[in-house]
Amino acid sequence: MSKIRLLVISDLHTTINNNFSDDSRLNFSDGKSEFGDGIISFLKSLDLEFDAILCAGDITNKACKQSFSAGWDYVNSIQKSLNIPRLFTVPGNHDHNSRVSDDYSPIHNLQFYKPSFPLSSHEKNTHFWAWNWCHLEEDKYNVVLLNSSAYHGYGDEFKHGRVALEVVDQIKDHMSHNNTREKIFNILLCHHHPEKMEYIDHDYDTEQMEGGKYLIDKLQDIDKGPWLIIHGHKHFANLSYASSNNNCPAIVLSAGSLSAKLYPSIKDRTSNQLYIIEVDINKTDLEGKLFGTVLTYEWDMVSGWKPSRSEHLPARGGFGCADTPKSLAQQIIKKFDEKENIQFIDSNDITEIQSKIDNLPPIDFRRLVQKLEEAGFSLSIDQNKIIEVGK
Amino acid sequence: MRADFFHNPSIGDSFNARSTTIKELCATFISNIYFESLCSPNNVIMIGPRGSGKTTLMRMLEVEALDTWDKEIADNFRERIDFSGVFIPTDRFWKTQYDKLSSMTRAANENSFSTEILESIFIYHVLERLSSVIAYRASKTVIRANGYKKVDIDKETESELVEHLSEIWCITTKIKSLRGLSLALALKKQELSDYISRRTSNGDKSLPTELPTYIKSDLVRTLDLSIKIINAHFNLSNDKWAFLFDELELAPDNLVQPLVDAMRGGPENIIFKLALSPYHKGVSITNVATSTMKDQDLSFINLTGVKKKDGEAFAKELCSNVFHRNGLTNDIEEYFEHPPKVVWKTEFSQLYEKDPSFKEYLDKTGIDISKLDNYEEDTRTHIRKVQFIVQLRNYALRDNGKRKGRRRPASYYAGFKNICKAMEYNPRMLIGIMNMFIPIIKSEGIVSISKQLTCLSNYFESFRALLSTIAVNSNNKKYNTIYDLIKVVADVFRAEIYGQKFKSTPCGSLSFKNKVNSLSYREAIGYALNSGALIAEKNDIGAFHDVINIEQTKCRLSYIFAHQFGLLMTKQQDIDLMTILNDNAKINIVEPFTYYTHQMELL
Repeated sequence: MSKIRLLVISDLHTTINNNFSDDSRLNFSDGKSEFGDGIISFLKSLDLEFDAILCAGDITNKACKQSFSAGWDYVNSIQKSLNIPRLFTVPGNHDHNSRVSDDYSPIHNLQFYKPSFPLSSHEKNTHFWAWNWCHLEEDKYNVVLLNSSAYHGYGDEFKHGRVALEVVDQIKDHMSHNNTREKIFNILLCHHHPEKMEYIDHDYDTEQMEGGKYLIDKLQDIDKGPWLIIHGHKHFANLSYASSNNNCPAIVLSAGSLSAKLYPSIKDRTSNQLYIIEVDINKTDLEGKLFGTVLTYEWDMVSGWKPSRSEHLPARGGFGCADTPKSLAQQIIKKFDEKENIQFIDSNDITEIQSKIDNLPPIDFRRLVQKLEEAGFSLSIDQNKIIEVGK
Repeated sequence: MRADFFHNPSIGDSFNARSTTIKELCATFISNIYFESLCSPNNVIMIGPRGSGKTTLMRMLEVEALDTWDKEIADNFRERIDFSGVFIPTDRFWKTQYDKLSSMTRAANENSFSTEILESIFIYHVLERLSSVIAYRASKTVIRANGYKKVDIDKETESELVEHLSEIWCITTKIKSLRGLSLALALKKQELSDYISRRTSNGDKSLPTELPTYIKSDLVRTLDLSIKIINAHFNLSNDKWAFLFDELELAPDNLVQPLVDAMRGGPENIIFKLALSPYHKGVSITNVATSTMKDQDLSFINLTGVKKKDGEAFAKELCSNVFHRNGLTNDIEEYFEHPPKVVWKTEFSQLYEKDPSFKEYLDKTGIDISKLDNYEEDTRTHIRKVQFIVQLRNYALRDNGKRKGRRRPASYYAGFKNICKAMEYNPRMLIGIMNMFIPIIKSEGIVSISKQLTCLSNYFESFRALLSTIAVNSNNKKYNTIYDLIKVVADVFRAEIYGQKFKSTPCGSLSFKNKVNSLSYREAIGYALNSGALIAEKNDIGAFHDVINIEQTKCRLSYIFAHQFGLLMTKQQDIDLMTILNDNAKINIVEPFTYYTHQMELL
């Protein structure tokens, strides 16, 4: 199977000052970060080759210029240490001087950062800062970088993200144009969430990207391959399908924070995480919709980095599976019933079904397990792999 | 996979086979003569201090490890090893519960069900490991590297086996598979452990009226019956199984002694291999009337006091492996500055000039320095024996014969081979100190003699800190920790080399012939042996036996003390401990923190 493997990090909130060490674990107060070194050595231990690293913003904390420098250097050091050919990033609200009052520009420091941020190409960088987005072309996929904090510094804008409707139209026109080559899939990388996430705090979500829904609709109108949307900001991980009027909804990875200390109401439901997305190129190309898996690793004080045990997100999940949990449960039960005088079936008996489960989002996997248990079966599972089913 | 946030291992935690993955264990394993012995189809008692590689050797006998091991020599071992190894680590949580509960029941002068349940948890712990090995052997889903010990059984047979075992093990298995069996055992352990936790924290008040079900048979009988059932279902009636018990020094005596006893005339098709520290209070291997050390079914492996030739070969391979993994691919000895070649004539002449007692010795023995290289073998042997004393003494004395002030240790202790010797060829210590050298080599290309000695000193300091955690209670106020006792011994040995009068045969090892007084030191000596501060001189039986029969034991100080106290790294004459201490102080080990934490666990 041909794969594109992406490493996703977000919301580093890098600090260089111990006064802000309550905000983030990624602290370079003495020029080095043990936490940061631990991430790199963990990633090296996975012994994987990545096609790209994506960082969804908030590299620094509270617009600190020196911390931005330390954080951006750190992101680049991950790329270099792991020999990752591409690095895509966008600024977050903390990277902008959002509450500018005694300064003359919320974006000046970012625009004039050296070496240039977020892109090394002068032309692309200029496009990004002029229009708040830019398009990058890779062999198998397109990438659109969007600055969802572009209007910070004006009025109450710092309270939420925004994509101007005109910007959305611009992106749509550009991506739909005959000169823009169709790829197997497309990535949109931004900081704010394009759809509301009220389930996190059980409260009205006022931080969402204004114009987000319009953006999602228009992206899905572009008939040039499926979309993978990656964003950060909420520090709360989730994997979902975007609302869609067609049968090819965008996949949305809401990335949790790599290193920010989490606020009390979410710290037991999610964790400090990083993600490895593997897009199945053949299947995605064949079906015209995204198929792939998401591996989630989390950090805790006791074990360091390890496969995630959080519900948001668990160690393994996927996207693209067309079957419902109920249908998959019925398929497994049928396999079980086919074997006479047998008290259990194992993963060898359900290889084909498991290959569908690999592309099942975590929430649907939990439902599948529940359906089988309700039908009187006992399961032995390892992450999202069904090892044995017995009755 | 284990990934550490703390990516630089500390000295004490440089390597711990207990937490290493099988893949990593196999990738780094260096076979040695002890592994060869351990592979025999015999019952074995293996003795060694901390870090001597007991856990690594035991874990490498596990079916999965042997199956995974992909080095060239591995095929040979797979052909030879005709038993299925079941590695049993010590369950530390259980151990804590056991100690706590034992203390409670002692206090209440009762013999409760709880103790029985707790002992059954130990049995379930062993069965859990056994079930994971049978699951591995019979697995249809695990991709096997070499198919070692693989058995093919159909699902009906597997379910039948699981039902039989579940019945005798008093567990309910939801999925009638071997994997399901392992899960059921884990749940049973949890259920019993929770019961004990409630019992120890709240007394009987919050306990359910009904006791949980548990195995009421003893471990050896349970294993005997289980293996018969497993072999019958595997259709391998004479298949042998080896139970590899690690860190048994942490297990209570009443569980260890039956295992030791079962090693003589134990169940058919079952082999026991036990790893212990040199000293284990309250357990005797040899005091059974029928026992004989020449018993063909029982062999001893003593990992202490490794022979120089074997140790050097092992250390070089192990350390080279560590260097290679860090991108240092030259011959390892090239990375260490060699000590300057010693010109013996010069050393002898200089000491002759400044040390009247040495002059007297040479004159008396008639050794002529100018003919040092030309003597017959007998005299040459004699010269070889004293030459290192001459070198050290000459280094320490001024021209006027007075002792020089404190200065760095002599180059005598430097060089890759000497460093390995100072580490007693102990794998954990070797890996620990090599990790100290690697950054120096990466920045400077070579480790100078001065830096070699600095690293040795730093390593010694961490070892001293470890010994200082073992508190002792004594009527002599100068003994507060084990290190205080060791230091008294080391100072005496130092004085033997650097004292007023030159001694050609200075004392450098301990005997305990003065049995009556030595007995009060038995426990302290045992802990010093277990920590590796003392090294028991080898005999056919092994150090374990010797500490129980303390008057037969001879020990020397670990060579890790040598550079610090200016001691020799050669075999020396012994002196009685009581002669050294010259008092009637009594010493007891203090159990720290709580009544259920043992000193040994600090190690």
